[in-house]
Amino acid sequence: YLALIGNALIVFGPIVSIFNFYLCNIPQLVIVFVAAAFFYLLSTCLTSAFYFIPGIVNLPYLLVSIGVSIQEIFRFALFLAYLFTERGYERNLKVKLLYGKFAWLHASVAAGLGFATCHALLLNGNVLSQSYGPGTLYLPNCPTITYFTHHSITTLLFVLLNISWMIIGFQGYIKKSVLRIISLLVLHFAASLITVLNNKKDSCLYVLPTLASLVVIGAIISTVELIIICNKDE
Amino acid sequence: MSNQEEERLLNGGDSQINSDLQDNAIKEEDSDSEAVETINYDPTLDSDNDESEEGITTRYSENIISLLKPVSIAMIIVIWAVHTLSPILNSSGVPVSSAVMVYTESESDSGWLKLGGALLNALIVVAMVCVITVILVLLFVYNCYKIIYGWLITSSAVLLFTMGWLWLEFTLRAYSLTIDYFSYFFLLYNFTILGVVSIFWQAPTIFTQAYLIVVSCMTGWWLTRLPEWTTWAILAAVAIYDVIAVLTPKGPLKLLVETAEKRKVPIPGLIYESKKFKLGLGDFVFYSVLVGRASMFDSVTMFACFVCILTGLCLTLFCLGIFKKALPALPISIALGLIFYFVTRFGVTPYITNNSIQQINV
Repeated sequence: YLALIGNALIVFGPIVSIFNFYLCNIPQLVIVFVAAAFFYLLSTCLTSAFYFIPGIVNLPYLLVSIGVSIQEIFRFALFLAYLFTERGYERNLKVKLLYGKFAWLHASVAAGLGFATCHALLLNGNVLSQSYGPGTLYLPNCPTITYFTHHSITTLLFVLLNISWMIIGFQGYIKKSVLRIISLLVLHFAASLITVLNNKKDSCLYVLPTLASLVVIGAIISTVELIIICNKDE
Repeated sequence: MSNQEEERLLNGGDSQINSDLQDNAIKEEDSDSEAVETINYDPTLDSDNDESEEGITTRYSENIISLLKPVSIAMIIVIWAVHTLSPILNSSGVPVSSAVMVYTESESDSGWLKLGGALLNALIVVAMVCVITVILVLLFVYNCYKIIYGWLITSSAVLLFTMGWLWLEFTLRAYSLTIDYFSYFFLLYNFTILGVVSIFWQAPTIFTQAYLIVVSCMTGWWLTRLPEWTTWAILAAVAIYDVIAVLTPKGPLKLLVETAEKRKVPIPGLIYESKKFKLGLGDFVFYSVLVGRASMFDSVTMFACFVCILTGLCLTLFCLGIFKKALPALPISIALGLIFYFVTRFGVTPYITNNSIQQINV
């Protein structure tokens, strides 16, 4: 039980905290959260179609690149869906979905959390359920921590990354900022492609720290965005 | 337009199937039908000039969340029941047969036979639901309230008692807990009576809502015991029936709702009320069945169906606000759930499994 609970808390602790203490206070964000989870599911379904192309399993870099590209397309599609909904509300009901100068920030955090939660549920759900029971599993690439804990930590880092990517993405799309979009793509490709090295010997010595660095970079960029929004005149 | 509360109705056709334990065989009896899923929305709040614009959006979103929460809770409870209680029931060796199914699935049957048999079973179930709904409508039109409520109360009491018995016994077995017979039946008796009182008479709202969720969970859990192909066929068939029953001019549910509107009386049936919306228990049941059945395969399919159902429900509620007329609650959610169940089962799960083995994150 303890391993299962511990690994579940690693992955879902931040998600539940952000959801409970932040999203729940603004009901519209919960709906954005659900929609974002659905868009992530769509992107995963489409990516999985490429998995069945003969031989592509032996080209993990290509498969990961395709997956990242599709996910970014759906991130943009989610942004468009949110924009369309917001404009529909303003045009027809003469109300806004969210108010205040942090409206887009709130929406991007909620959307990022939706992406992150669906990512965590799909990728980590099965692994977590396998962690219950007697015995555990260690892999040569990371012999100091169990496979389940390693997987949970990686998923946690991707949860945090997804939130910052969505903040950067939404700001980039709103402002049509090429720099932001490129930085988003670079961060996402870097994070996903580095995980391909996970099956190499002693990979957790460089994969996990790299991912953690990318989380810090994403957090710094997101903080900069927040500062820009704070300083923006209404 | 009357000054009274305008009802925007979200209807769905449902059947609630009670089960009785007889000897060593479990037979499913169709004893009553759910009426409708209704969503009531109070427009006077919209026309209130003192209400801020932000308040309108927040309030409508809160109303949507007030339905997403109980649906999520019901689905989680059924998932728990499927993984905790079903193994114990299966190991007890009690055979499952149904009084309404003509085809019993067997592992050795071909795919086409299973498909044909499942469709036949689904057709029978939908026909049964249709007949029961028509009977309910006729009783309502001719003001036979005593028969309607007597029927609903009896079936609810039987459901709470028998299923409560099963749930309590299997939960005790699952967690190796013990209880004496006197306390067991004392709890069960009070659970049943409190449930009937909460649903049909007076009780704090939280009790009424909790019991409605429990009733839907028990029914949903029971329906997950149907054979796999039959379950999927029934879900699809009931969703299609829902559209016909609600949107066609002479659909039984449309007639029921219109009659209730004309008479300005509540629609008879088990309906979950939350803030400004009401949702019939049939929706809870079939959502739970879909997710419960998906969870039997894999956690990936389970989470995918969970997300799809919540998304479908959100879309339905948005459509309700746009079209401003009665809409069926099942089709969008069930359609998304079914599509994504099969896509994740045959497509996403192998991909995710490969990524998990390779420790790749995208």
